[in-house]
Amino acid sequence: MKKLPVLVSGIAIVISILSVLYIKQSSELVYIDVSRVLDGYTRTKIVRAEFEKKAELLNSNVDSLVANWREEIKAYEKDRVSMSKKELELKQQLLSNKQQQINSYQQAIQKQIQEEDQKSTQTVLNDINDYVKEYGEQHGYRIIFGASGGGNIMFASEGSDLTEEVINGLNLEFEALPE
Amino acid sequence: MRYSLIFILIIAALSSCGHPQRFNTEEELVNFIQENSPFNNTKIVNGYEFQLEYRPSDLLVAQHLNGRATNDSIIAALRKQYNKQLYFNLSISKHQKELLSVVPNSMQEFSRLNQTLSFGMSNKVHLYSKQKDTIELLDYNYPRLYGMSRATSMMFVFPNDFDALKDDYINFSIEDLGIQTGEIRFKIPTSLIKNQPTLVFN
Repeated sequence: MKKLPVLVSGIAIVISILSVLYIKQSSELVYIDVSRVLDGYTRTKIVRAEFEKKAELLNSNVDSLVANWREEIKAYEKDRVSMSKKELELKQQLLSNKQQQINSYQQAIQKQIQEEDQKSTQTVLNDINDYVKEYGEQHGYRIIFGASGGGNIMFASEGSDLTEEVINGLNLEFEALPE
Repeated sequence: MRYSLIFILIIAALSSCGHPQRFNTEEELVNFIQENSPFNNTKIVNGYEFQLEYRPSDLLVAQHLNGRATNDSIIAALRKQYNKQLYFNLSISKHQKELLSVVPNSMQEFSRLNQTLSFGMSNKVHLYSKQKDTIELLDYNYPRLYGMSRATSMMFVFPNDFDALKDDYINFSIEDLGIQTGEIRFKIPTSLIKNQPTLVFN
């Protein structure tokens, strides 16, 4: 029966130590360098490579259409001397229509490339945001700053930088995901 | 005497852990799901709100029974039938409106998005385990509500694959639907499925 107060005191001491540690950790100011996370995350490279491949293919379609149109212009310049007035008008109309079509196509392709770029960047950002949120919750941080190198965090001690830990955790999780 | 009381309380607390919660009415269960984040998760990306809800199979049983009186054997048979699948409700909205009401800027874009929502979601939504095992989509249902709803809602049905449920979570991912949100991923704890809440039918 005499052991009970000792036991209760022991439990109270352990709880106090744990609370102090928890409060210390949750009130700690930490940050991650977003550009380093983007560079270090394996999926960024994969998504970037996929996007560049897609953009190259789309641009090459436009390039071949433009090259084809230039060939037609050259042929027109060469043959125009032998053409009648009506033939000239018709050919000019045809070439002008084709140029307009190519311009519209070029604009549509540029828009598509821009959308693909945004899509792939957003996919990577979603992963990072999800991971940082989960990491913060698991480690009891109240706030995690995101430094982007633009001077929003001027100084932080080495221990406050979670960048490497986040990169490693993100990559570990990604390796377990299907590509 | 005091120690035995504490011991009984600890045993009771431990034994209650891991047991599925039981609800007396469908409304109680629906409210519980809507208020608890593992069952109901929301993500907002570029102004689009994605809400994923896991539906326990007893809700499907209740929907099947539609308030009709029944007996234990019928309930057991229905539970067996509906437990073979996993059910997820996905809602996507912007400014509390359906996607088809806010996304398309032209007839072409409307038609493309409508095609994707009606027939192409099986290529856009994936469920897979932490260990890269994909759980094949069985079916999905997209009821068109012609702008009458506050979100585009769909129901996805996957087989209840016990092997994939060995991990601590499974991933539910939605590829970009042409709305520049990138791929959206929800982590669903498997404990949620293994110990899903149930309804008291009788």
